[in-house]
Amino acid sequence: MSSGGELSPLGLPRPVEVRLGSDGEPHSLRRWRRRAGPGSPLAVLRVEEVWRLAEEWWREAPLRRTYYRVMVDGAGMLTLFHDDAQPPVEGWYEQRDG
Amino acid sequence: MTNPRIACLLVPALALGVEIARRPQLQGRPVAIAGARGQRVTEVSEDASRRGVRPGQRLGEAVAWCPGLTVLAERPARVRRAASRLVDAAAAVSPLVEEAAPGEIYADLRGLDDLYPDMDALAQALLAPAPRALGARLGVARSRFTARAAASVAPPGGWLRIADDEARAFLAALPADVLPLDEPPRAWLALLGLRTLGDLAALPRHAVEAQLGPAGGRAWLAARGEDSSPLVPRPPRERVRERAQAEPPLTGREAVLMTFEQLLGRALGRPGARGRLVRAVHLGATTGDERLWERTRVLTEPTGDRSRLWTALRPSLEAAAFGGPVAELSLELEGLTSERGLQGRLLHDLGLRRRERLDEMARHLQLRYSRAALRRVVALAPESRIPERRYALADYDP
Repeated sequence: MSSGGELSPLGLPRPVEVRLGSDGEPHSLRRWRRRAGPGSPLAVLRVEEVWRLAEEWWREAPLRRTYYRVMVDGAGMLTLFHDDAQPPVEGWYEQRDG
Repeated sequence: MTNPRIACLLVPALALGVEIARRPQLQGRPVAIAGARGQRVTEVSEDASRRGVRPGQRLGEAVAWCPGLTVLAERPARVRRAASRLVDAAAAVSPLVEEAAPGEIYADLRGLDDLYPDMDALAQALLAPAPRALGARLGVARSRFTARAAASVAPPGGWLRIADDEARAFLAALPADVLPLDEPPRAWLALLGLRTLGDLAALPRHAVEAQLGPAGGRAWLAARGEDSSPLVPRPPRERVRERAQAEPPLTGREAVLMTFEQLLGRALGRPGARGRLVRAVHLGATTGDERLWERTRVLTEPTGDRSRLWTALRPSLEAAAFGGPVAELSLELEGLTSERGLQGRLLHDLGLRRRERLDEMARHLQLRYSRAALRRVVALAPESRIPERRYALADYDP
């Protein structure tokens, strides 16, 4: 719990490990368990939608993300995004609705 | 002075420094402070440390390492007074001061440029009130973590300023132990061979967050000199305080009870307390050899009635183990309300009553835990395309 009047954002994205297919789209993903390493790989059955976000252009590090709405085997419909400021194999997150 | 904005005034071993200030002949000798129960070492002098004495050791082990060790009992009342004086001295320089721990004080330096000719003058203003024997040192940087790290390596009585563009390089060589992390993540860092802040800063942020969660993300930022945590000054709380000194110190419990009851009556008679209800009472007793006993009694319902207050306080005093004859007693009334009584209503508004009860409970918890205990969801930007920018948790402040 934070203190001193700070705001705690709801729905912070959670880092995930994503393996890309030959088309550069998510092929499988693994969620991280705290201090226990990555979980079992979950296969991405299909990519429903792809969109890009470019926000906060006035900041030193503008926000640039590529979102993927994916159907995942055993986890249902998830929203993933890649932080485009990071290399393709890093900077993947699972977006939770805030 | 526009670059750095936070100063950290640090006394690494406050209890030890307080005792050495009183007994200068101990300077340069192996000295250790034993904790409240006298079983383990809590602080050690440099000479003792060189001979193998470490905080946390049992006294027998410490003396085995250093047969010439001088062991002193901790004097909480003295430490508390010394810590308060440090905070007051910092508050005389900056209006925004936070006491993170006894002997660890942060001050916001913004807006002080016109009051001090240069950084050296400002640093001396913060360091000068601390007795030399305490070994206070000062760090100045843009972020509080960097300021703390700078203070920890500054020489006693000296100061060190870290500019923005020097922060990362400065922090890189420091041990990872200095990070504000709990034991499990600390053990994880050691397990992975991450010995320095530079080792941690070199990792991708999302990998650290994946393992350690948001605390890991904050530690990663701190290791890079990008810690953005703000100062959290304790909000001024209105209180009415009464004190009494006993010469000779009181040895009988009835005498102590009688004195506390008198203090209560005097406090309730003060203009600041008249016509108001009290939510909490803080009791303090200092023995002749400066042991400290304290209790805070938070009332389930505020009251201004003397006999009800005494009924609530008496059991704590009857069961108290003061540790010796009592030389000084103090009583503080806290959480003073503005209204005298509870106004009834002609028409029942269930929603309003629930809200009032919730507010009352929130105030009660806030007083008990010294921080907001309830949080609420606030809408920041519900239409934002970035989901984590839409809603947040904020303190519920009635």
